[in-house]
Amino acid sequence: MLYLFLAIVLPFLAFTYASFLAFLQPPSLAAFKGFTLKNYRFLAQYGEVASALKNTVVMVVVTATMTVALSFFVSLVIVRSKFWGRKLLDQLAFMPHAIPGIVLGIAFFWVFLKIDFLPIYGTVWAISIGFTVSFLSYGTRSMSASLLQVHKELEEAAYVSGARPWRTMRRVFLPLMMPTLVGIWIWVVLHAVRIAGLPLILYEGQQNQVLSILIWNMWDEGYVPAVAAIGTLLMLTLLLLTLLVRYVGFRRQWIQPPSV
Amino acid sequence: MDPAAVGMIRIKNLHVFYQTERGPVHAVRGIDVDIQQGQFFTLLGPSGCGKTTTLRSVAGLETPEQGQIFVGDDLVFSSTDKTFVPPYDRDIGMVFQSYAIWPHLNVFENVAFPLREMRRKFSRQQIRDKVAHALALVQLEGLADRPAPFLSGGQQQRLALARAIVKEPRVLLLDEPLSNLDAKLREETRFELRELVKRLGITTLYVTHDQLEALTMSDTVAIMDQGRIVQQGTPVEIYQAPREKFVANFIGLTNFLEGQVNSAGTGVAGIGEVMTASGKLHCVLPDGMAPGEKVIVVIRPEDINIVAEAIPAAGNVLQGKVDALIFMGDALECQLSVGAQKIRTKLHPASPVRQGQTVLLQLPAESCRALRSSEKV
Repeated sequence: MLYLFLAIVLPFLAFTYASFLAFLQPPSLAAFKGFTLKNYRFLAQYGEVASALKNTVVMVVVTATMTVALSFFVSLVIVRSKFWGRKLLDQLAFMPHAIPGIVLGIAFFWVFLKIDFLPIYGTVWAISIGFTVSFLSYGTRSMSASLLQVHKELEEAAYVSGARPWRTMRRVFLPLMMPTLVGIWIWVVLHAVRIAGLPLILYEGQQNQVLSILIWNMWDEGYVPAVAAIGTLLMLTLLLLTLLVRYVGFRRQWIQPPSV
Repeated sequence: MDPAAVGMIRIKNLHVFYQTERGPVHAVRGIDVDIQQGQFFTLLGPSGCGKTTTLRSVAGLETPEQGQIFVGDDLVFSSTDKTFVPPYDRDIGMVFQSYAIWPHLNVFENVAFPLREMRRKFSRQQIRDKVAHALALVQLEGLADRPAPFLSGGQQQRLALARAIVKEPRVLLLDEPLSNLDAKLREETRFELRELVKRLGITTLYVTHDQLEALTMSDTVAIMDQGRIVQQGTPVEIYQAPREKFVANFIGLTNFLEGQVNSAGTGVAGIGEVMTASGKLHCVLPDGMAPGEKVIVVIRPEDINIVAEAIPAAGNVLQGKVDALIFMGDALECQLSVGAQKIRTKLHPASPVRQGQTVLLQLPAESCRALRSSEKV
């Protein structure tokens, strides 16, 4: 309990406390009396916040959607097909897991610089592509586990009931997979928002600055209480998303065949 | 052609392979079946005999290597002219061993699913009526709104059946539908299920490894072993006149006595004499047996009588010692040794037999069947 308090609640409280201060100071009665919303007002005026917020939303939505779609098709091949290279594909999809985000970022940095005929370098798309590759390992793992749990007879029952393959997909397969798809989507959003390593390497300027980089830059420039304010808002948002994951994600217990 | 004369399900020279990690397996090796309209036909056999693969081929869930399959007059598979009608275009209903109830739909929607997927569009009221009718047939009225995962095993089984019959298919395929139920429920459901499909007049292909299900429910039983049908007949024929040791062994408890033909069968019943290690026995011999041929004599435990004293005219009396008695509730199983030969009999539970006692066994000649022992078992 004490550990949980020290490790989780205390840093959060410290952050929140700092976000209400005019300048950084140790906790005291005077400090509490001097509480102000100045930092939050500052965020609303600081031009880069709006663009970083927009970039972040675009980036995480694109990343999460691409990761879910790609993991779905890769896992489908791995679990369901008899394709000769499916084991290799499985390994390939898992490989990025072994590569640190910064290293992956540098790799993509070079790739995007080299393929200059595609205007990817320096955009949020670059970050999305990098993240998609790095989250693919998690995506395919949980997708494969979930696919294995959707008993093949559930689809065969749809076929013998007269449903064509795409109808079976729409009416049986996708609804059963939905909790997993949503679960992975939110998981990727949560991670893509907070990880700074890869976006830092691919960062070019305001046009592809995301929130994690903005925090980094503002911290670097000494806006400590303002950073605390962004952090507090970000944490609250992510906390809500986490609760959502727990609510909708990974409810699989009812996909199993009846017990004997 | 007279439609009544043509079978509702016809399978001709069916061969099916399926792929495993270690290469293809020849699961079905030349099966011929002709099932008449309204018949309850059972494929019975141990696991891995190819019975489920045959059923799945009729459903269109497996692609056979060779052969032809007809459902009614429709050719649904033919290897020669490369016909393969996909499962969703075959006029069938099917119940899976796992029931395969869709957990994201409630009871009503599970049953309505096949109707909504039909080419013919039904009105809302028609769908409601048909679903209600199907649910009433399987006694699930009043549960229409329940989410499917909140059903008991027996209810799920009946839901799967309602889903299979709701669009009134000409053929019903049942893949071990009772194997996930507990013993008591299985017994009740056996009769209900047979009664229901007979009432609806649906031609039924049933797959099971349970001999009791096969004997009590079927019009015709086909025993399968290693991808082939080894014997086909009514339950009574299969039980009373097994033609192979595999069939005799698989159906019911049986005693086997090895022997040699002394004199070939005579008379209408074809009773001849066989020399066994335990003594001479009069048995029903298959046609064309010559003296000297090796045979296996098969007799059911319940056909053996324990007698106080030998009746000379009856013959077939052996002396044995009681090794063990097992009380089974409705019967007393008695294990005896006649010389080196072990014999099991089924007695009335109140029989005054004691362990270690020496008794006389009488084996009625018409219940002893000699089978050629040349066949590999």
